[in-house]
Amino acid sequence: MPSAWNIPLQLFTRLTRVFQSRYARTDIYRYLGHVVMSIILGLVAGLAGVLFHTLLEWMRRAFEIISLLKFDFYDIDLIFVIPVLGGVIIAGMTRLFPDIAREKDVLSVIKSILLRDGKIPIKTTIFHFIAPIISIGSGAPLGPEGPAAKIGSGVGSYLSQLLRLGPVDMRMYASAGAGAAIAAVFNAPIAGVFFGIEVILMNDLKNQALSALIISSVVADVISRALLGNHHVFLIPAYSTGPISEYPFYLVLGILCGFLSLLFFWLRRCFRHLYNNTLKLENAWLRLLPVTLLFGIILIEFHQLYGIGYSAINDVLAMKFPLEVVFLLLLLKIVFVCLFLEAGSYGGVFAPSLMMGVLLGCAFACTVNAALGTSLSPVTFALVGMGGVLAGINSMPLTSVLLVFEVTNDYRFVLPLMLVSVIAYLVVVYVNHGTAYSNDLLLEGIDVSKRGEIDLLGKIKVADLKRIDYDTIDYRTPFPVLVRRLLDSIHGDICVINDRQRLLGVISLNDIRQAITSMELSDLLIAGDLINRVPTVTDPDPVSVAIQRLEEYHLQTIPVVMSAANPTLTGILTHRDILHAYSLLLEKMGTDQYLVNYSSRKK
Amino acid sequence: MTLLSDYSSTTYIKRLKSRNKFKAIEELARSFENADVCVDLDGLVSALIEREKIMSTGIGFGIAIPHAKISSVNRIAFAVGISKTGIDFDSIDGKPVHIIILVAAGEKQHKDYLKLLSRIMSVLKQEEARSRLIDSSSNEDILKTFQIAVDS
Repeated sequence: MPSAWNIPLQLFTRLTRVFQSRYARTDIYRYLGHVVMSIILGLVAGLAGVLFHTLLEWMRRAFEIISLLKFDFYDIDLIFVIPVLGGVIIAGMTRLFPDIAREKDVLSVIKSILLRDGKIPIKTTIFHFIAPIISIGSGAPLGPEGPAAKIGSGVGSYLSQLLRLGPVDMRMYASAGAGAAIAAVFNAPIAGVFFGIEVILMNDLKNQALSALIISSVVADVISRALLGNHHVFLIPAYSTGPISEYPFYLVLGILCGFLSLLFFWLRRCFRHLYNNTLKLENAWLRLLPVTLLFGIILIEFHQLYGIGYSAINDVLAMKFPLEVVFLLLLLKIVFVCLFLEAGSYGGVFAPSLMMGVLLGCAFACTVNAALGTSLSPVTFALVGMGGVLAGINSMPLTSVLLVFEVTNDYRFVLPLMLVSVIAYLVVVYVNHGTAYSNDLLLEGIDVSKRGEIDLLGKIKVADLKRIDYDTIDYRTPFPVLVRRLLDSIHGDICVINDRQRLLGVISLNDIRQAITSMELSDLLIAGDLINRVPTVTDPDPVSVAIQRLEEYHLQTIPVVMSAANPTLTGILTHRDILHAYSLLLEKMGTDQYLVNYSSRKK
Repeated sequence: MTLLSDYSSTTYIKRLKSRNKFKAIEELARSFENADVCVDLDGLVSALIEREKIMSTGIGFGIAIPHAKISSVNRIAFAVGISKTGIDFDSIDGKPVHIIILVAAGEKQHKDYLKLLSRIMSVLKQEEARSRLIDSSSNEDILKTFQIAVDS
């Protein structure tokens, strides 16, 4: 290296050291670093969102060219080939990478943030970048937001991994990335932020990720507008919001949107049962190809169902379809969205919800007008229905209102939109006893409280905290020996076992207090007489189950056995260890950081 | 105030004919036959016998207290068996048993079970009470011996 470079290089190194030693641990450095990281995340997530959107559009056009190639003699519309072609490719991808393929949709993003500190491998992000482009591009009636959220959070996670950030930061940027990508894909920064709050952070308004979420969503949307333009996808014809007397009809529409959302969940459950239990289909091609073929044949008659469906929404708003076609499109849309999702296709449900909402709102207004002679505006009801179904299916009333408002760029129908979105959301929450995401998480053993906080102890398994330094005693042991062993025991209680090491119960000092005070009993009793039959847990159980049982039975320890059928004792779990693990988890979550800051400021 | 005698009944008191300790336990356990103490008397008998096989409940002074705590017992109760001739119970002191107090408790009645055993022991350690039990001609008199407060 030339000596002329030495002086500036040494100066730079020295300055860096001074900067790091003086400022790296200061608040201002951390805050500035956070803002810069959020901007970079917004830029990268925005670019990823734009690239995703552009490639999706190219893919759609590429496939459309095939449909234009008609056999003149037979007049066959080749559109039916396109979904099948896409299905062949993505089923192949699923078979090649089955583990990565499973990590799809918004729920997987939430799980990564809740359970894996926001860590998403880059190959998962790349897979879920490519697969939806092929599936939606080849006509699958799904939307881009699930993949976008996956890509955005994957970008946030990967940047955090590159910069070797800790788990708290990684969770924060993975959450923020999801919102940023939604903002870029839908050109809707406020909805991106609220999607992050309502869905990814599960309404946790105290979360540290909020500022990163806002900054990166704004930056991502700026990038999107700069590269894709400021246009809006929906062309809204002239309409009137109608008099106040129409509000009862909006109320009914809200309930209908809720019912449609419930029908959506029911259909998904039915198709899941059909695939997994009735047909027992595991082969990705066998699951997907029949659906794509059937959908392709339907497409010959109903081109409107192809892909995301924004142009179909515009056609509905322009009243281009007769009422019976609107009803038919609604039915076909909901059935095929559910079929594609359960068959293993890739894509989200926001855009399909918007289309179903438009169709429902339009059909409702037209039907009421025909039946009661009213003059409800089908356009207004269609726009409002968008928000209703979006809120019902995705359990996000605020995001729905803001997303519909931002994608339509129209404020006039916001009041009925708010009413219908909240009613639909409430109908779903009332019937399903929880939001869509919290119920799906519960099915996977993750309990999310009403305030959006995860059940921390549900994150750790019994095996992680199990102790093997426990005391056991044979059930035939005479009482005086038992008392001595109990007094010397490590945890104050002792597990009683039989000849095959199977657990019979537990005896604690508290259990034998009565017997100790009555000396006459010492010749009469053996350990087996004093057994307290306590609940047990197994290694794979979440610790939250153990703490519930400990509290229910007022115990200090709970035995861990091989299984319910084979109660061979393998260890114990103590209340004290659980509390210790809980406080460590709180620390990891960064919650106690605020407590420390608060108390140090008070001083 | 709950009395110890409230946990028994004149129908649960028997003059035992059996000379074998396991037969005597079964004979006494059958006194719960028409009561709502236990829904599975065979199960109770086998639990009592299994327990007896592990370690004798003959604690000396002519007394044995076979006992079991099982889920089929609805209500904690005790039965009293008197044998004038005496039964070989492999007691600590090697002497034959003349008074058998059979205690049956439900699985979740742990505290009451120990309390009941403890109070029965406190009655039986008095020689006068033991003689009264053996010499009583009526079941009512036998039950009167157990008329002490459980919680005292």
